[in-house]
Amino acid sequence: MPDLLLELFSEEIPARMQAKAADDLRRMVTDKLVAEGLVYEGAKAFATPRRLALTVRGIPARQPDLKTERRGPKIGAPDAAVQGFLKATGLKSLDEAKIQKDAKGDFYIALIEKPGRAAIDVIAEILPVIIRTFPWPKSMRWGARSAKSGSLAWVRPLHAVTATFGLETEEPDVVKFSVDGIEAAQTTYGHRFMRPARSRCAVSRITRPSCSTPRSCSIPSDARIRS
Amino acid sequence: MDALPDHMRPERSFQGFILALQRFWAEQGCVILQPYDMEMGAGTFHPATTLRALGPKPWNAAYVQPSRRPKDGRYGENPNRLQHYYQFQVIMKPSPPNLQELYLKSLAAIGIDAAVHDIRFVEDDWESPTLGAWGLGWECWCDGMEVSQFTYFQQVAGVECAPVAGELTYGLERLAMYVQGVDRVYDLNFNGREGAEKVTYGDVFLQAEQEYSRHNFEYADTAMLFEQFRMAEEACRKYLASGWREGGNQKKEHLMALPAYDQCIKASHVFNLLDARGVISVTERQSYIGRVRDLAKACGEAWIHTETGRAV
Ligand SMILES: Nc1ncnc2c1ncn2[C@@H]1O[C@H](COP(=O)(O)OP(=O)(O)OP(=O)(O)O)[C@@H](O)[C@H]1O
Ligand SMILES: [Mg+2]
Repeated sequence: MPDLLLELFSEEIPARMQAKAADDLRRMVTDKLVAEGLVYEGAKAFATPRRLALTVRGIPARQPDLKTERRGPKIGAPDAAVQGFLKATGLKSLDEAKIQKDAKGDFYIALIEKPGRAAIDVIAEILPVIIRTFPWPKSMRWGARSAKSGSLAWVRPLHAVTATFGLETEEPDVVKFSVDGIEAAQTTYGHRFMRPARSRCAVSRITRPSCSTPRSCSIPSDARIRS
Repeated sequence: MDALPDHMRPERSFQGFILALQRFWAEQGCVILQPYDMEMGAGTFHPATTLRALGPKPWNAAYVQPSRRPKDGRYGENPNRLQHYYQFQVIMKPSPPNLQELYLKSLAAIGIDAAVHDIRFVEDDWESPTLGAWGLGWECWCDGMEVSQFTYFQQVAGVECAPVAGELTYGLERLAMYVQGVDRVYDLNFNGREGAEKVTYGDVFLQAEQEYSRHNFEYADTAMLFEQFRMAEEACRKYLASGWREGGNQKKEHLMALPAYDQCIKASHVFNLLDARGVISVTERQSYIGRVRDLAKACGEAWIHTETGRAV
């Protein structure tokens, strides 16, 4: 099953906030995944002065299909009620409805099947909301966009978002979304002083905190060295 | 830079150090201003920062500002704390996306190589209760010593910054001490010459530090200072009140925000002197700070109704 890699790359996050932020990120993303029917195998969050990162392993590629029943009017109910029922449930005619008996009489029942969506599309909806509502103890605005109301607030200026989704053995897909002009992509940046180059992120290499080749470089660990 | 004579190189002289910074920021498109001609505790008080940080118009400037902190006087005996020192101030509105990179490049331009020195951005939520201002950013450390302040202004003079300006404040003496490799500010080479021609920071400022420390802590005329505070406050309010006009399309306009703000600067410095003299009690202190903040806020409000400060 595919894995998700998320990295939020910013200017230096206050040291006292890093661990909790990583925790919050893991909790918020995984809670949302589960609420969307995407039960995962495991999740791990990381923090360094300039990064919050998260891997979620073993996410199903699609949400399960959802089946719900909806109770409609009684048999013989006025036409307006029947039309309303058909419209609300998307049934073409009453032939498609089931009939259920209970103490009060016979009722039409619609069986609605909602096919599950691709997990990557669901994730693309979840992530920008989490970024916008992230519980930093104190956040700020910056740059030209701060002239407008509704601009993104983050703990310090946010520069890049990496979000990929895919199988460990294959080249992952980028989760397509943007927040306040920042497009999620697959490029990250090395340590400010030790390794400033840009690198491509691959979800399959997340477990290694330091890097040797661009393909295997996911999260350079700058926590230990310097802010 | 190769064409620079030796005595002007940033690692040789304090004056060369300042010129290197000015040149670097001029190359980034900043207006290079001269110091404001009033006593103030920090470069942030210069109207080029306080007032220009407000309103939507872009503004990029850099300047040296002599900073007077009467309480920081040490009679010339402390190696790096002075009651009069120089700040180098940069303000960029809106804050550019690469401001941190520019800061690090500016350090390289004055001879501080980030690969050799331990440069850190350490959380510091900046707040000026007298200016009604706050922002988020860092103190910048070089090998463990605070050498700059880096702030994204969120609010100044009680007005929300839209867009946000980035402010950099360098403590020039402390940085120059690194670059020249001296342990005492007074040992800094000021003019980059050697032998009989050499002038040190101590030659220029040691006596002043001793005299002003005496003045700030022991002799400053407190009766006069109380009176000056009162007068500055009153004048500020008077200028603010007289400056309002009904402009075109029923818009309110202000025509004297700058002279009013000068009086706010004055009040703030006089308060700092009184504070150093120890004649203000803890409870009075809060009320004095509040009085200066009220002036600052009223000046900010006036400024955003001026030609330069208002939305287009
Ligand atoms: N009294 C002083 N003498 C010499 N340098 C100073 C003095 N005070 C501050 N500096 C330097 O000036 C820089 C910018 O000043 P800043 O206003 O941040 O100082 P600060 O001591 O942190 O005061 P504040 O708490 O008011 O911000 C500092 O990073 C520091 O290097
Ligand atoms: Mg400071």
